[in-house]
Amino acid sequence: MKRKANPLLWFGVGYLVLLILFALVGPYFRHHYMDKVGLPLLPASSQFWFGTDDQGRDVFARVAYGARTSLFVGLTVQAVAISLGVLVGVLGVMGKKWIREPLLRITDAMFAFPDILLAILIIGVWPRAAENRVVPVIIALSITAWPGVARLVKNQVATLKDREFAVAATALGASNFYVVTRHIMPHLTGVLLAVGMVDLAGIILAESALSFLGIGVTAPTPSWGNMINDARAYMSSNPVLILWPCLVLSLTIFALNFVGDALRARSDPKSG
Amino acid sequence: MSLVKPILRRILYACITLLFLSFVTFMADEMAPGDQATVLAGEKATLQTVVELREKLGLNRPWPVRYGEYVANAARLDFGTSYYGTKEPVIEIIKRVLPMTIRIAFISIAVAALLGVILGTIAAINRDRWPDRLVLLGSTLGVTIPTFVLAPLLVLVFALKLDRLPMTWTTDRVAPDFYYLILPVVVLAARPTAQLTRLARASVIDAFQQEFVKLAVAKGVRPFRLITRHVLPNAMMPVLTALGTNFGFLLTGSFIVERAFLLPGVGREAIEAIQKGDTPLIQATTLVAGMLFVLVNLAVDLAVPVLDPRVREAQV
Repeated sequence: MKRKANPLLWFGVGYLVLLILFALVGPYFRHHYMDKVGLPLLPASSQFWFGTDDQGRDVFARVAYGARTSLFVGLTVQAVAISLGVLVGVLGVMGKKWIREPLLRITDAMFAFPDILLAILIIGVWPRAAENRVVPVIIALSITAWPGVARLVKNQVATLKDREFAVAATALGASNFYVVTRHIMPHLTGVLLAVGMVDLAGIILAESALSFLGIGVTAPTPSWGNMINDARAYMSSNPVLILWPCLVLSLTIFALNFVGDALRARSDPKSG
Repeated sequence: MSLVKPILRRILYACITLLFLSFVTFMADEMAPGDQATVLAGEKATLQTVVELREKLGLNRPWPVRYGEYVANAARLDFGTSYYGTKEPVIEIIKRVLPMTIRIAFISIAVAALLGVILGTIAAINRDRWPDRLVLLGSTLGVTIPTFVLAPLLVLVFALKLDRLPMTWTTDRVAPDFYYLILPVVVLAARPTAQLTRLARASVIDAFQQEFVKLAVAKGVRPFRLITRHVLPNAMMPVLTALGTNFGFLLTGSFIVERAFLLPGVGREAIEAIQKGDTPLIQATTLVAGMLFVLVNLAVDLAVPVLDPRVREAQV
């Protein structure tokens, strides 16, 4: 089958590369994201590309820092969730019965109620001292994100371990550890990468949602969620203020989904 | 009756889930910094007073004992009293805010189910033609656009620019409630509608491939009757099953919508409780929201075998 060039994939990849650059240099590019550099609520101009916010800070730099917050939280959570999910998923299939059963029960139990409730509970009881709440947000989202990965890995490993190459390796005397790391995991990387992209979008959304609600990343640290929430107060006088974080966030979600779906279509010819 | 056993099993499973949920909320309080005694004693209290108060309240008993008590109290709808304000019993607060959440959640899920089925069917009948593409594009947007982006955008357009709808819920409402709930419901229903549309489309397309539908076409059944009598009853089962999971998204959305439109509901109360550090209220609001989710899923799971004879037979 001929592989068609997918414009959405390349749009997504291009956008994400730009977003990473934006997150790296944007917060300090023209103005520092925390400095009061102009009059409040200025419209977009050559000096302030996205205008200024209610406290006279450069919105361009703040949206860029929001990208940094989102990517940092997203990637950290994803790293924890994938490590934990892979560990639990593999042990859930290959482990001894006494370790397999409780792990699978716990994984199932995590699906019993909506993620946000658990996240709210964790953040709700976190000591108030945490200054910008990045740590509790990361912990809450990591705890809610791993079961999805674990379920995926479990199902994949369960089918892969009975495939000829795995059975052959075992027959030749390879240990379970060797079979998993050398024969099974390489098959999983494609799927994990694809699903990881889509999940990353979900995590970034969750972080923004919590910040919007006022229980995630809190001001003065900029996050797209708390910027959207803060800008609501100026919606009638200065609607553009709310549009920037909304636009960048929505494009990020679209881009991650496009890339994830395209990668999934590539790694699994059946679903394409 | 052969259905009794699976139904009982499902109800038992729901009870276990609720117990697990109560355990998580209880443990959350255990791990929280401060407890009831430190809060009741006030900020200036000495360690002595706190220790005595702890003794009096029975907080120094081992946690399994207190967990048992917590469950027993929760079963009698006693969730303790709020730490702050008038120190009102938590159940009174819940009674005040739960109706709003239930109202917007159920209206939204009903809207989503109805619209999803209609749009999905239209798309499926016109497969690969422009109505199908339009519906698919709309549902992709609906699934990906975040609730907290959609809410301010719609307010911007319909409340501020066009001045047709109110921005938020207020205590001095001049029009019927429903007028104030239009925007919240649209925002809340957007994502479930998009999800259910996709699902309905796929399952109607699937139903058209079935033998009995082909037979009906061959017999010359008129299109409208074909859809309503032969296709939809079969295509609806996956949609019904998906209502449960979608109710979860909806619950998440209700937290955001209640904040965006200042609706006095469970979600808004939970957020305020977190900001104040009002642990009993945090516990009760999450427990109640979780209960709502478990009950809706239970209802869906019980309705499926009742409505679908194939599932009924498979379960026996």
